[in-house]
Amino acid sequence: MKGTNLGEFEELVLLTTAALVNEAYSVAICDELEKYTGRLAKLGVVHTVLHRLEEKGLLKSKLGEATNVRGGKRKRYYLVTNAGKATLIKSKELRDRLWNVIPELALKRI
Amino acid sequence: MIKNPAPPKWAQRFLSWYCRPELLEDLQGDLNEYFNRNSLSKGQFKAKLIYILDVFKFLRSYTIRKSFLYDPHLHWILYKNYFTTAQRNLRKYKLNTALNIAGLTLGISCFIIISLYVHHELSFDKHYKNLERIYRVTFNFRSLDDNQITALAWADAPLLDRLNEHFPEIEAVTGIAQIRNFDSSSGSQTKVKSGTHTFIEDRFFVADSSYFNVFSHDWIAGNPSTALTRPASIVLTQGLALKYFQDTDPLDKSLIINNRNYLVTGVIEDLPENTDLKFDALLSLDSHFSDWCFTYILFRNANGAAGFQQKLDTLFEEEVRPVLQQSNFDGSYHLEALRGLHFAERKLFDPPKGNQASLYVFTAISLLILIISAFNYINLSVAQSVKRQAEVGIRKIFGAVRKQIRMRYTVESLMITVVSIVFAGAIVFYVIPILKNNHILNYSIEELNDVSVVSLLIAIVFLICVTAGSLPSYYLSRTDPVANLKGKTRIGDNRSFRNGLIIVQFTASISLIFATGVVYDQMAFLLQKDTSLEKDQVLVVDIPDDETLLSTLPVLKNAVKALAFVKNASLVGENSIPTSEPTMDIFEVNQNGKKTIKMLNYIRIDEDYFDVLGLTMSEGRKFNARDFDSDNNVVVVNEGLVKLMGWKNPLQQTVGSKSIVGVVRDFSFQALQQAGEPMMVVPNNHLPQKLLVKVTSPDSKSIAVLQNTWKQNLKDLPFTHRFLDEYFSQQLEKENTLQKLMTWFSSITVVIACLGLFGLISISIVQRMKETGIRKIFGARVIQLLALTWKEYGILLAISSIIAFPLVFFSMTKWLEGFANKTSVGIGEYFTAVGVMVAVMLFTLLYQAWKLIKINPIQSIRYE
Repeated sequence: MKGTNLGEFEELVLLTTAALVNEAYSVAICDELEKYTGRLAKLGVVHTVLHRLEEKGLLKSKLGEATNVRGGKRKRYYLVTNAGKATLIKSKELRDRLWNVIPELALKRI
Repeated sequence: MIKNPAPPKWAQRFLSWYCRPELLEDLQGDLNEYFNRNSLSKGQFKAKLIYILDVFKFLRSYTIRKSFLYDPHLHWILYKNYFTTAQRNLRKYKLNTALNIAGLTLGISCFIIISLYVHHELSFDKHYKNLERIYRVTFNFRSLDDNQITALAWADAPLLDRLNEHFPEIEAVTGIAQIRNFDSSSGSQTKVKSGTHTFIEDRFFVADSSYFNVFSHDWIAGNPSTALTRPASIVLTQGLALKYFQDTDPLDKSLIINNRNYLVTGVIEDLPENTDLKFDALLSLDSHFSDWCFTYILFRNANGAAGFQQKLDTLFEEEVRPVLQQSNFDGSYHLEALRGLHFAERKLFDPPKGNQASLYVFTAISLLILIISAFNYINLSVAQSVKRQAEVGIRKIFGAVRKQIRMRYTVESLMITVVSIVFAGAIVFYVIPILKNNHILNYSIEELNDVSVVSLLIAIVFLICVTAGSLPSYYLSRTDPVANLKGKTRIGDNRSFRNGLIIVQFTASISLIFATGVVYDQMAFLLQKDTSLEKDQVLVVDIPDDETLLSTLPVLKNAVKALAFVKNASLVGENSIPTSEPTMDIFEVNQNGKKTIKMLNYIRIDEDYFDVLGLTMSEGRKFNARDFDSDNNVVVVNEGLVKLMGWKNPLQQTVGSKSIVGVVRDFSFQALQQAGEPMMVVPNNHLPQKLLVKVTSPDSKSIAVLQNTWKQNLKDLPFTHRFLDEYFSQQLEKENTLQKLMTWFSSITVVIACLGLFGLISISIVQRMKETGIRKIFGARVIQLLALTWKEYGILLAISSIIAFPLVFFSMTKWLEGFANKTSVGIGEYFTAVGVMVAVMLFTLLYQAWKLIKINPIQSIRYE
């Protein structure tokens, strides 16, 4: 099913949103992504991904208060929904399980 | 205070235009935040750039408003229905459809034909690659005596070298001149011998070797950089090369031009129609130009011309003024851009040019015709829409919204427009070659190759026609469906709107007929009422440029004079037949008792010239045989010159070293000139250029006899001839074109207005069916019924006539001011115009009368 599969970048965005808790809005997410991954996060890309995640029901959003920095425009804050949380946990479990299967030897040889 | 940097307004507006409202605010905020950040770290300019780029990057499927892509009110399935009903409707009202299509087709084809002409006129010289960098230098003479300025299209030959030497910003300079300029004993006619054939050519030019560095041409054979470097080389245009050498390779062939051997070094494509300086062949220069030539500069870059006029002024002051002032003259150089040359002021010796004013007039008229035909369409559809209210009512009851009703009628007008455009296209293809062959509009069908122009035209036509056609639907879509179904909505009640449109149509028709009448009047006046010169039945025979003929020609002249149908004959010198540009020279004269140097026009003629043209003397005598002896120092002046000089006893005066023996009455030397331009007449003892023959019967038999006489004396030299009045009407070509076009325009507007009137009346017959029936039952006669309609449209016609009169009167008076010989705007033409419209109305009323007679009152009362 479409809703349950996450792309790598989608997962990163979702995780970042979760990490930022109540401060997760597009620009902050971009900055945070850049800080942790060290790669350039384009606003347009992040925006599209946020939109898609919201469509999938993994995120929900609401408008916040107006600030001066944004020319009086309100921010749209994103929150991870329960489904989102479940997906994140599920993908972490999947990874953990796979990690456990890899024999120590095989890893060392890499 | 530092102004807060803000992102570009238009980009913001663009974003809020396309973005879905629920996403907009957040997006704007994000972009603002980035913009603020960027303007601090990267500077304002870069920040703005990034903002703009981002706005475009956000153009994605999920951000764009949905209504752009899909309108739930216009379901695609209904379009098929719209097409079907539109088609049925068009078929049902055949007369109406035919009138609409006919009117629109006429209007559109007129519009396209004129627009293409305007495009052609605007495209002059655009094919030269260096157009933006090419400039022309011309020279203005100013006489220090009377400050009279003569603007020449040429500049002096030494200027070429001066320009080349002094100015680093100039890449190349070139001089070009028609052959007559440097070989003064001949006219512009050139004798070309190829093998055993002899040709007379008109458009041969001499150019220096850098001509092809400045002007780009398409080469078929030869090398542009070396073609004109050696003396006695010639570059031909393709048409001429074909004429001389047929299919053989023309390169390195020889041609004998004016008795000199030339080698063909190149062949270029024929010059297009849209260039002013047209030549058929270019001859190379031996060393340098002797006196005057067209002078063109190619600057290294496009802004090289900035400030160059001042440099020319300085150059003039240092080098030319001292020399000129010795002969009591001053002057100045003028720099003109090639790109604006076609519409610039026409200077002396300039080739014929375009006329911006008439271009505006044509554009206005063509738009007027298109709009009139659109008005027709509007009127007819509004009147017709009453019949459609039932359909509208039913559609509304089944849930159609206004947008859908409008779409339904837009589809119909779209169909009519497309059909009209197709018909108009066919007419355009058919008519343009006809116009070209008759020299009315000199452009070819190839103008249509320019896709951008054609698509622009079609877009304009589409816009106007579709808007016009769907206009009634705005009324219909607003009406109440219940009233619609009961047939109670009166859309046609918007009388003032409809009458307004009719008045515009009538006014335009009357104005155009009136104006055409004035143009005709003026032309007739110019051509016929000039009695100072007998130009009927005068044959002009070209004389080849060949010095050896000097002794044979008098023999020929006497032989011609001896012919039974010849009244008289005269051999005239260079540029001396009426309509040509007379020669100019400077003479010392006594003006108002003071010795001065004047620039004067003169023509060179023989003793029979006066009789052939019917010129009479007011004082003194004509020339006699003795005047033609070698040291001829006699001259005849015209009354205009006597007046200019203020001479009381002209016969005691001299012009230079020549003594005046007679004063000839003023005559119009040129078609558009007032009789009485100061000029002189001197005996010609150079090679004549033309033979004038006054005949009694200008038919083909006498011309054949004349040709025979020519053959006996001049063997195989070509015999070419025209009548003198042809020269005159050719000089009036511009006005002739105007006359013909005006005739076309006014007839077309009348036809369109007629179609409209016809349609409206036929609709009103149907609408008034019931009323007419009742009137008939109460004993109304047909004539009384007609009077009802007559009154309605008669008032409109009266209003239009009143509006049209001052409109045309003032604009045509203005136009007439441009002529030296002019008529006045006649009242007769005005009444003719009104009369034509009255006739058109009566004609349409006849149709109505016939319909009214046929109405059966019983049936028409039942009509619902």
